[in-house]
Amino acid sequence: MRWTVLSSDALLFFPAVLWFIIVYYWGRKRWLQGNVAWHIAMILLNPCLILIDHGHFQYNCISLGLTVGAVAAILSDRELVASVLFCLALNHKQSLRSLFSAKEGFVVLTNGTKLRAKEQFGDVVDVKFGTAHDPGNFIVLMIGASRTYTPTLPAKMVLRCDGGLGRWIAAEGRCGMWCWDVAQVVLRCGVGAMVQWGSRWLVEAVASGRASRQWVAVSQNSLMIVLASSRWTQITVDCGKKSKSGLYLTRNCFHAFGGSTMNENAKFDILGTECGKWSTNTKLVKREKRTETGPKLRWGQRSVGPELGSLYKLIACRTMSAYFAPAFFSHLLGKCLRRRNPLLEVAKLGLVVLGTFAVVWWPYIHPVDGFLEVVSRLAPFERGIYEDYVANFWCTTSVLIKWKRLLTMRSLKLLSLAATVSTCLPSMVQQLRAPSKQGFLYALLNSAFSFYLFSFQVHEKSILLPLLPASLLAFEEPFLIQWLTHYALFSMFPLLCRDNLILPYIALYGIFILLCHVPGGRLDTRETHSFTSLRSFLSAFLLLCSFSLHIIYLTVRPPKKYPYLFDAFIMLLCFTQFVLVAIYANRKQWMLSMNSIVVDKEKHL
Amino acid sequence: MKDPKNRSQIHRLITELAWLSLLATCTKLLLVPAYRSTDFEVHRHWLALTHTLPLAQWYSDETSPWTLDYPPFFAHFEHLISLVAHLVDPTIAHLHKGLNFSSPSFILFHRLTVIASDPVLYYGIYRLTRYVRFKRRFLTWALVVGSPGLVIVDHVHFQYNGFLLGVLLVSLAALEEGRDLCGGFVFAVLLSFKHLFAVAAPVYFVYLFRHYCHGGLVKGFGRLVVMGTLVVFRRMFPFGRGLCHAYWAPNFWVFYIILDKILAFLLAKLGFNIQAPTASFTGGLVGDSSPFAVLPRVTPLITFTMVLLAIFPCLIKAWKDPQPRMITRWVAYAYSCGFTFGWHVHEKASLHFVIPLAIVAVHSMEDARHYFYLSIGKFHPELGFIMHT
Repeated sequence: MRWTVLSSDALLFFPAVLWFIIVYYWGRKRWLQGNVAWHIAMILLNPCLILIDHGHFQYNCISLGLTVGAVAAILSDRELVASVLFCLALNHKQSLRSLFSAKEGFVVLTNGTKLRAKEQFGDVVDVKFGTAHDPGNFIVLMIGASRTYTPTLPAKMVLRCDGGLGRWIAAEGRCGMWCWDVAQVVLRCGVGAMVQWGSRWLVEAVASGRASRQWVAVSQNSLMIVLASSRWTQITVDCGKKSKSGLYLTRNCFHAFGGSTMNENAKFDILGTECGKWSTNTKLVKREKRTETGPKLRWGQRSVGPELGSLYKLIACRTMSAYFAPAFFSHLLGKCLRRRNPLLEVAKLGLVVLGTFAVVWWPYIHPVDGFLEVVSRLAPFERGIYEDYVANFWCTTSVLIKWKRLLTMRSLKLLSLAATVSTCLPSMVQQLRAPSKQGFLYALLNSAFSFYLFSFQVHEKSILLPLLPASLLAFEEPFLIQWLTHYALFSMFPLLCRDNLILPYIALYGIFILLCHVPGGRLDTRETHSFTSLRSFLSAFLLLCSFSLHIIYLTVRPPKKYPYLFDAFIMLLCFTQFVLVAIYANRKQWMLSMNSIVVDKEKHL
Repeated sequence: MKDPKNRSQIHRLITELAWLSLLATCTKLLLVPAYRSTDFEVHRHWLALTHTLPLAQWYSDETSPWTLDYPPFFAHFEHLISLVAHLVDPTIAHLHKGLNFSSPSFILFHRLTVIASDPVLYYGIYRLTRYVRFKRRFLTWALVVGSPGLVIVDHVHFQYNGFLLGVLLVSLAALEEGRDLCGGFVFAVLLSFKHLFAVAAPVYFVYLFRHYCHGGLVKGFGRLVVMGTLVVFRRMFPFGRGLCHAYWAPNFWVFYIILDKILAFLLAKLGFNIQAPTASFTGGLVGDSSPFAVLPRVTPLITFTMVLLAIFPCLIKAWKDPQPRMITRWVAYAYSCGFTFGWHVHEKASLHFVIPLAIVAVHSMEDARHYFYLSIGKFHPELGFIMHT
C-alpha cells in the first residue's frame, strides 16, 4: 500500500513541482542553479508532507500535486489546464465525485466555440472533444478526427449539417453564437444527467442485490477500457500532426493519469463518475493563424477557460483543495474583468454556474432525504466544529469560550462561514482589483490560512494546505517557510507521537534545517529586511519555548485533572504563530498591489 | 600541494564536511527500523562474547554458530561497545539470555553505534581530499558519504564497514602525503581490524619497499601480528566455506561455474558419461569430491595464486615508478582483483574498491566513467541481495 503513495507521489507531485519551478524561474534575470535546486528541495522535502503521507499514510500528495500543477498552469497563462487540474484536485479526496460531471458544461461551451472556429476556418483547426461521457460526442469526435485527413461522405454530411448551422449562427453574430452554446449545454448536460441517473440506478441495483458487484465492476472496467482506448486513439490521431503534438501527448497523459489515480482502490464507484473522470477536457486545439480570412470570432476563439475555471472553484463543496478555491476564483475573475465586456463574461459565468449546479445535483435532489444524506456525507456537521486539538481559532478559543455549549450547531455553522469568508475577503479583493502572478501565490496562502483557522471540522493535517503555497514562495520568503514548517510540524507533534514517528520526525526536521542552511549560502538572498535584535530575541525565545514543550510532552506526564494540558499549550503556541504568519502574508499581498504589478489587459483577438 | 593558508578556508572545509555528514546522519536515522540481517545478531553475539568471556576464549567459544571471525582489534572494538551496551540493557551483553535479543531500544542503540563510528570515515575523506579544489572535493565527499552501497550495507544490512574504510582512507592519505611509515602502520592496524583488506597488501608491500627505499624495514609489517595463532587463522579464513557465497558475488568464478554447467550439459548430450557433482558450490570442501562436473577443481590456493597474478601488473608499475598520487588507484585495483578472483567473496567486498575509486573518480572523465560503471554494476547484486531478504 505504501508503494501506491510513493508512486503517486513520484508520478504526480514531482512532475507538477518541476513544472512549477520551470515556469517560476523562466525568464528571470538570475536563473541560478543553486537556487532552483534549493527551492525544489524546500518543496519536495517538506517534512510535514513526508510524515503525513508516508508515515501516517494518506494520499495528500495527489491533490497537492494537482494543485501545484494548476498553479503552474496559471503562472504560464494556461488557464484551461489550470482549471482542469484544479478540478481534479478538488475532486480527489471527495466522496461526491460526480461533481466532476459538471465539467460537461465546461466542455460543451468550449467545444461549441471550437466547432464554430472550425467552421469559420474550414478543417484547419483540429477539434477534439475532450469528453467521452457522451457517446454521441465521441462519434463526432472520431469523425471530426478523420475528416481532417480523409473527408469521407458521412463526414461531409455531418460537416454540412453542423457547418450549415454553424455558419448560420456565425452570421447571426454574437447573440446567435451564444444561444447555440447554451442550447448545446442543455443538450449535452441532459445526456450527462441521463448517465447520472443510470449510474444511480446501478448503485441501487447493486445495493438491493439485483445486480452483482462483479458484473458492475466488470462493466465499469470495460467501459474504462473503451474510454481509455478512445482517449488513446484521439491522442495518436492528433500525433499525426506535427508541432507540439509531444506536448499535447504529455498533457493528455498527465490528465489521463490524474483521472485514473482518483480511482482510490477498493471503493465501489458510481459508474457515472468513472465516465466523468475520463472527461479530462484536454484541448488539443491548434489554431492556425488564418485571421485574414473570414470574420473573426470574437470571444469564441479565445478560451473561455478563465470564467469556467472559476466556476469549478465555486462548485467545490467542502473538500480539502477548496481551501485554495477563493484564490483561484478571485485571480481568474480578476483576469476576466480586465478583458473586454466584463459584464458579459460575468453573466456567462453566473448562468453556467447555476446551470451546472442544477445538472450536477439534479439526480440527488429528487428524493430529498437522499440529497440531505449526500450533503451530510460531504460536510459532516454533526461531528462538531472541531475535533481533537488543532491550532484553529475555534479550538483555541474554546479554552475560554465554550462554543459548543454557547451556540447551536446552525449558528456555529453560520458563524464559521462568516468568519472564513470575511478573513478571506481582503486577499480576494486584492486579486480582483490587481491580479498578478506573485499576488496569486500570496492569495493562495491567505485563503488557505483563513480556511484553516476559521473553518468547520479542520484536521491537524490540514496545515499541509497553507504550507504548500508557503513552500512555493520559498524563494521570496525563506524565513517564512522555515518558521511555518517548524510550527506546522510542532502542531502535528501529538499526532505523530501517537503514530510512533518521533525518530523520523527528528531526522526529517534535521534534514530540513540543514537544507535551509546550505554551506556557502544561497547565491541570491532575498532577505531584504535585516532582523532587529528584538526580533531575533523574540524568535529565539519562541523557538526555545517550542523545544522545551517538545521535551516536556515526551517526558512529563500531564496531571490527571487535565490530561490534554500539554496538547492545549502546543495548540495555543502554534495558533499564535499561524495568526502572525497569516497577518504578515496578507499585509505582503496588499503591499504588492500597491507596488502596482498588474496583469496587462489582454488584447482583443 | 600547499597547505590551506587561511583559517577561514579550513573553517569552510570543516563546515561543508560537517553539513554533509549531518545530512547523511539524519538520513541514516530514518533507516533505523529498516530490515536487519543476521549480521545484527552476529554483532550482538560478539558484544556478549567479548563482554563475558576472558580474552583467551574469544576465538574458541561455541555458544552460538556465529563465531568470531574478525581479527583481535575488531574484537576489542566490540568489547568497547559492549561496555556501553551493558549500561543500556544488561540482557544485550548476556551470553545466553541475549541470544536473538531485539528490543526497540537495543535496535536503536546498535544502529547508533554504526552511525557513531562513521566519523572515522569522514575524517578519512577529509584527510584524503584536503588539498583538492572545492567542487571536486564536495563531489568526492558526496560520492563516498552518500554511497548507496555503503549506506545499505552498513545501515540496513548492518555492518561496520564505514569506519574500516575510513581507516583505509587515512592510510592512503598518509601515503599520498609521503608519510610512508605512518601509512604502512595504519594499514597494519586496518588489517588487525579486518583481514579481508589484506588483498591490497602486496601493493603496499611493493610500493613501500620501492618508495621507502629501505628493503628490510617494511618486512613483516604487522600482518604476522594479525595472523598470530593458527586458531585465529583458521577462524578468520573460513576456507571451510564454499567457493561462492550463498548469494553469488559477480566475480570470475561465477563464469567458471556457468561454463562448467554448460559444458556438462553439452557433453552429456553428446554422449559422454558425466557424473553429477555431489558437492555444492556454496557448501564447504567435502573430502575428495569436487563440485565441478567437467572443469578442474578450484582450491583456495588456486584462487590465491590467481589474485596474485592479477595484481601483478599493478605491482610492476608500483615497482618501476612509486608515485604517491597513484597509490589510491592501485589499491582500488588490487581490491577489484581480489573481488574477481577471491574465494568466498561477498558482494560487500565490492565496497572496498568502489570507495577508493570514488576518491579517484573526480580527477578525470575516464576515471569517472570507470567509477560510474563499477558502482552501478556492483549495486545490482546488492539490490538483489536486499530483495531476497
